[in-house]
Amino acid sequence: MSQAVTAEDIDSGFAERLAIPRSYLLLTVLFGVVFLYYSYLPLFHSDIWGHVIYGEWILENGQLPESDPYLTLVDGVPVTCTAWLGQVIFAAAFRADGAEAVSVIFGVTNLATWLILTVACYLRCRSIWCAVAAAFFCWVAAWSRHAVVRPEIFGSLCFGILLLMIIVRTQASQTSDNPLSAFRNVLFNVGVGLVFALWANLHGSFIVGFGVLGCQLLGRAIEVGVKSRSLMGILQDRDCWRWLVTCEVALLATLVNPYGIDLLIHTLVFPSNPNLQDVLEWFSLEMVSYEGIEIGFSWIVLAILLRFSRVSFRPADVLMLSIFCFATVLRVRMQNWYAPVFAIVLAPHIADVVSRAGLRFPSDETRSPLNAWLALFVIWVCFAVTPVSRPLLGGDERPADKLFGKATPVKLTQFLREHSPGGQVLNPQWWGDWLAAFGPADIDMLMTTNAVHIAPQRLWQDYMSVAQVGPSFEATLDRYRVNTIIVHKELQVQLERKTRSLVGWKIVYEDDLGLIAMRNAIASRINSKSPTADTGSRLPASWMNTADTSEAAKEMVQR
Amino acid sequence: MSLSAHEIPTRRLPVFLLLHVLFLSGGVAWATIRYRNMEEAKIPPVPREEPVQVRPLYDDPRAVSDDELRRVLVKLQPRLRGPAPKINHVDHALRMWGAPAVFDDEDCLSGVEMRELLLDHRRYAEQWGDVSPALLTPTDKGVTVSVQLGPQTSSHVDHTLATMAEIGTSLDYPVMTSKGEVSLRDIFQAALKTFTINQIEYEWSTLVFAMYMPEPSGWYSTDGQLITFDRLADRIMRQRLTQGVCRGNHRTYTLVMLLRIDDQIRILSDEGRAGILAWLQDVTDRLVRSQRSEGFWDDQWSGAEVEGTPPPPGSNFTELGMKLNVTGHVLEWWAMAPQEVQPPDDVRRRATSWLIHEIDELSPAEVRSNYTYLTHAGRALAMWRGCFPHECQ
Repeated sequence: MSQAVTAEDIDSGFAERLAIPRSYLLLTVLFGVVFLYYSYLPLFHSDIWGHVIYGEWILENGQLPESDPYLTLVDGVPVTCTAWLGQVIFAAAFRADGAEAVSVIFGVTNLATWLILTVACYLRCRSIWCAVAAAFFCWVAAWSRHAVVRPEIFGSLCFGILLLMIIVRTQASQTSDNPLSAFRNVLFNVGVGLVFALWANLHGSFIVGFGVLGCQLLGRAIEVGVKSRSLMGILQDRDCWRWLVTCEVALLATLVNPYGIDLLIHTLVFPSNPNLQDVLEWFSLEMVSYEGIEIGFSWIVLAILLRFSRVSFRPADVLMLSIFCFATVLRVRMQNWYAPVFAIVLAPHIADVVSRAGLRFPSDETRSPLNAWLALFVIWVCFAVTPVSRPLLGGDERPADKLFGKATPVKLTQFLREHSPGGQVLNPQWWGDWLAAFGPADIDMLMTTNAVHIAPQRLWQDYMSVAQVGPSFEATLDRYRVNTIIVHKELQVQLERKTRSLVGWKIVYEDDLGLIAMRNAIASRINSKSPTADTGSRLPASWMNTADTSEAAKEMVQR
Repeated sequence: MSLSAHEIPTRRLPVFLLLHVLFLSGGVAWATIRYRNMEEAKIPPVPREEPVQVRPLYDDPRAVSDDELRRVLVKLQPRLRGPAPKINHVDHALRMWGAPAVFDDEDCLSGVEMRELLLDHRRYAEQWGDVSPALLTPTDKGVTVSVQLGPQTSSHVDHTLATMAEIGTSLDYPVMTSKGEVSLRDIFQAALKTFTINQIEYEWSTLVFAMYMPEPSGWYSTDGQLITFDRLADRIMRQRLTQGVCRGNHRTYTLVMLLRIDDQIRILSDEGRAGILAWLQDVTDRLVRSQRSEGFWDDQWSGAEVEGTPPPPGSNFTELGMKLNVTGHVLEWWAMAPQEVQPPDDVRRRATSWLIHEIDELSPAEVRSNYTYLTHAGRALAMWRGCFPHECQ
């Protein structure tokens, strides 16, 4: 006999389904804070703007650039846009809602990455708070890079997804008596293929994914080899073959990009570019540096956990940790990829040590709909107060001093737009992308961050020489017909001193951050003209209205 | 023995192995071929054996009479015989006089002797001994010519090679270094492999490439930039007018030569050619305005640019030396330049008249101290009679 279902029954069923434990609520708050933090991090002044204008160029022309569209001096040097899709995403976001949208992309991508990484850690340790702790260690281990806004964030997301998929697959194959079913294996390979196809177009870091997959294959081979003590044992192992197939699928998937196999070749030979020897993130690890301290911290944590943990290491984990650690020592840039591996490998050890130490996180598995409502409220608040809600809820763009990092030459750029000297400018390379995006369109940068790996070696050496006030300083300026010098006072003390002492040059603008000097004849010409409203830039600069050029700077021109 | 679910049957292994080996080796082979293709694209084209030759365009007896030309040429004969002749004098003299030149004066080196001195280390060592650095140095990139490292070396990057090109030397011409015989091609290869578009001196290199390179489509420099003659012309036109050796006039000369070579083989785009013509017209306009009433030009020949008037030159020049230098160079490039960029006749004639008069007045010591500039002047005056000096003798 059937029983009638009442409205109360439905309500209570719904409420039950909605009920979540308090830990979920706390997690929501935690990730809400993470989202708020990333959403309100001021945008860095460096290469992100180069990526945005590259993306803008691609959107405008419907094709990929063959050489750098914004740096005249590197005309004729072929460009491989390893991050074209990431650049297009940033440019499309910028088109939609200006710099705030770039911030939104950054916030959302980071939130997704950290969520995925935490879930991956959780799957390895089965403890929410140990997973959170592992993710926190990861954050600390790569702290120097956490505010970097560039297509690399999409690479990090793909890396997180790949790690998560590998953990799911490994655990399914370990926990089940039957091996992973063929269908699930196909599904996994399709997933890996999709991730790699996307990753290869989003950012050149897809190459590190092969490192992880290779470690799984080799790790499994070692595992089987140790057990069977025969090569035949390894050759007969189904999982070894499956990992190999996965590697091959990933390899094939990376070919789905506008450059085909050339992208893979370009990515492999990229680190041999001689210009990178001068770029900080391509240096080997120095312990007396921020990165060194962070990596050192991770090693200390590792040593402590290894001392007390009873969980055995999988060969694949040892390989991953060793290879990524070694890679970071060689190139500090690899820190970004080492940290997630560190977290994933460490998560089960954290859980074991915590359990052995008798530490117990407050266990409150009482489910309550109130927790769910509160979690929804937290999500709403995070949505409403961050720029992500602007298209729906409206609101003003943040003022320039909040939207951009402190070292962004906002006022200096505004001055330049109103008093464009035209022609070649000696600029700090790290401001080059910003100036190319928002500076007057009729000036040429000597160097941008995006062009460091494109620039012919001679040009790069000349840039380094003048930026560091090397020999033949003025002759080099003449050779490039530099008529304007822009100095970042904090980071270019020598150049500032030299610029102030140059005969035949005049400082036409100065604020706390930087200064602009021009040759006398050009300074006089600019002095005799009243400021133009706006000479126009490659990207619209809505923040111009919120960044008033200081009175001091105006007076400087009058003088 | 039954297989566990984690194992695959032994009979399938060969097939599995074969498939994967095929797949992976196929991938590696494909990547290798592509990489090789990419690297091959960077290999510069094979240069032409014989350089393109460019002849003077005009014969103006009102600018230089036969008698005036004879006097000038006698005065500027290469009296360089003797120990340790300055190499920049030798390669300038060879450029002016050409390989066929012979002289009655025993103090003069013939064209062939001058070429031997530059390209045969044995002859060079007879004059300079075991000097370091020697003029020619074999390296892994080819044979490099030492520049600005003392009187035993050349004065400008690739000037010696450009001299060989302008006098019509084939790339298979034998060159003797301290380590054995090579050919002029090895010097050319070294110039090509070490060239970057932003190097300090690029005028003579550009001329060399224009005369020997077979294809207008361009080639990649060692540091990865596509070099075309349009791009080289832009590079030449980038700096302020008076910058570069000889007060910027080598740049102008090279641009003219690009136009003239472009008349024979298309090495410039239409826009590139138009850009050069416009630039040269501007230079001529400036020269017309800045010519002194006596007929010469000095270090201020360019007049004011956007940066203002040009800064004074270094202390290497005497006042007369500067006038001879600039006036001789200007007349030289005008002698090769197309009609569109020529000044009014009287401007040019005032200049030749001043130049001839000054050369007539020079003492032998003054000729020696200004010899490199004077070779340009002498060559220019001959070319205004439609011939090279050895043809006018």
